[in-house]
Amino acid sequence: MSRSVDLFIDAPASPDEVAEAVARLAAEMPGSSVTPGDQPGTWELRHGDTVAVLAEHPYVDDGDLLLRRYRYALSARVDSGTRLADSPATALLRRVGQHLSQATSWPVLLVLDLQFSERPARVTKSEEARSGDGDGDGDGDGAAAGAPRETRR
Amino acid sequence: MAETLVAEGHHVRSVAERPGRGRTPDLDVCGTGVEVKSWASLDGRPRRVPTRGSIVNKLVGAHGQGEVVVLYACGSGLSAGTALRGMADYARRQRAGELRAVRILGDGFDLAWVRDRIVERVPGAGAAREPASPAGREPAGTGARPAREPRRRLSAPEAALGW
Repeated sequence: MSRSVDLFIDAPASPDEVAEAVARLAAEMPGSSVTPGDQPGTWELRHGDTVAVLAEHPYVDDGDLLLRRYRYALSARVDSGTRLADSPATALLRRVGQHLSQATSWPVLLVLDLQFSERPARVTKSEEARSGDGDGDGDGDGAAAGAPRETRR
Repeated sequence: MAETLVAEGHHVRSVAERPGRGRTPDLDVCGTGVEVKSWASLDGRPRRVPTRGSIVNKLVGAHGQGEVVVLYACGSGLSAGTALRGMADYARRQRAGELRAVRILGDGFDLAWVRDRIVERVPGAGAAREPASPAGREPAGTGARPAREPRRRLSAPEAALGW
């Protein structure tokens, strides 16, 4: 049974501009690339075996998960044999979220299995280095100072 | 979930993930790709009881993975009423046609949706019956069309899921 990890991004920008912002991070990570996806308006972030698709998302609000505030989602699948919070895909999306919150003013929200939200934690230099090698990063407790806040449109 | 399907007499095998090579269903059930979603607890976090929005999001998240989706909600706290409302919400969506059939298993209920109608599987009964919606009418998008005659021959997904 596969699960999902999604980084929701509230960007007042085109898909290409969001992809560019993600590509700037990918350029710093060996083995990473951002390429156009199969569908128009979609982009694929690849990092090792991890693939995440950037697109305008179709999800609805679910209780306290106010997903409609966010225009885009960068989404990856994780198979059931891996602890979701510790998976390479989650680590990658945490890092992208951290990068976007530092490089842009776009609010972001990391959601595990479309159930649990997690604010991207501050990523340390050593964690960045490990993530760049595809070994995962951050503890993702969401309590770090400077974590982005949700904002209403 | 796979064990449940096997116990119902289906031939079930898991489908290997192919990272970077497109989306795949979780299971092959009698030759039909079946995607399974659940609401498992995560790392000891308090469980969130699924809402109608949870149903929609799980189904939307399954697009491209299989035409048949099983939502396994046993132990999640999902009620049959919420499941019906969520399925009705999903049926109203423009891209709902991407899924051919949906089954939701919860504590005390087993619901199935086939493109444009909701079918309730009654334990011990030989045939399915149309349930009344919680609002006392058929959910939008499912009741506007005239009732169809029960199918004499089951299509592959229905047969695969034992409806």
